[in-house]
Amino acid sequence: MSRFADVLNQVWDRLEIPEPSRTRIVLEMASDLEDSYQYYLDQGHDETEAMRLAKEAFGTSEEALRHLTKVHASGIGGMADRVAGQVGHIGAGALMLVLVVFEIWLAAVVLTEEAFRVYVSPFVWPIAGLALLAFAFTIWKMVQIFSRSGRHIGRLRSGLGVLLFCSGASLAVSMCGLFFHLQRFFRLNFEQAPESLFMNFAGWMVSMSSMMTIGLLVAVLAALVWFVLSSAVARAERREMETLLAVGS
Amino acid sequence: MKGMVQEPQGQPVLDIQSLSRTCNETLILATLASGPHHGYQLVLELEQKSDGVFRFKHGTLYPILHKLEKEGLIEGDWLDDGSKRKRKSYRLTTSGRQRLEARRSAWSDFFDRFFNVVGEEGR
Repeated sequence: MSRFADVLNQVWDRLEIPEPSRTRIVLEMASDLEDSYQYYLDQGHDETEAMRLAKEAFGTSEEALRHLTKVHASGIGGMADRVAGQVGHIGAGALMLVLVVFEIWLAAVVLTEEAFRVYVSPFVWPIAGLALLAFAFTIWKMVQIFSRSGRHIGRLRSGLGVLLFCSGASLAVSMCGLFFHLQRFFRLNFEQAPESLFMNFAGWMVSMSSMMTIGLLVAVLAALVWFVLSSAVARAERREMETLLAVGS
Repeated sequence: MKGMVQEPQGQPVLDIQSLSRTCNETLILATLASGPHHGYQLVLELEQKSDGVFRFKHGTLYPILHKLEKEGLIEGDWLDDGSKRKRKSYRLTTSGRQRLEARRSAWSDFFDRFFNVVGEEGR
């Protein structure tokens, strides 16, 4: 338990910020309080006096906490934190797992179809690249989050935005591909004989729909993985916080 | 624009209505310009460099630091400095350096205009 558990508990109770931001802020404050305490010890004060001086120098006014709340509860970051902080019980975890497995199965069905291989859109390749990037990053991040040795709680969250980037980029590429194929389809029909219309339409539908399917699958999968990993990090941060504050002991 | 000190490009840099906030932010950006600092180091250095005039309680520093981080002007990271504990250290980003330069110029302009009004005696 931290020697400053009383101060940190007070901040914890007064800070109206969604998890996991609240935990991260209190962890930072705990580190700075220890630095302050060490400074006063080095100045020659005894432990009790050093603790008193460190607490006095710390000082969290209601106004400061209100400003802190305003900074963290607003904007896209605040929204992402509120989503990621839904550290749910086993039911939510099971639902996530079912969704991820379903997405992977759906992707496998589309990728193994003959028509997909014949009419594959060129836009599938950048989407595949994004999927690979998201996969490699997920593996690296899972090792970081779930390994016990050498990890630091403050760094687990860094870089999770890559998954959201892959998700958004996949959607963006799919939409670009959709309009590209649409434009190409109408242009071909002006240039070629009408009897080719049905063949063009069928080929276009397969290209476009399989590209959109893959693009949307990668987008949803990357977002799901982000949610799962963010929740895992939030749980780890929460456990660290409970150790510091000795909550429930 | 009333109550604003303008950059040459016309973008407001100093809002007279929130001088205290911009002053605090500029002080922190300027301190970080010399290198990365932990929260506690920032407070100490500000106090020492200003001979005790600029004193922050740690608690009041966090909203400023986190706001600057959210705006992309500084970047925080947990670092291992060789001791048992890891600390969150902040460093200035490229955008932060640009903002600091703009603020320096704006504050210099502000004080020129201030002393135009109150007079140069005792400056």
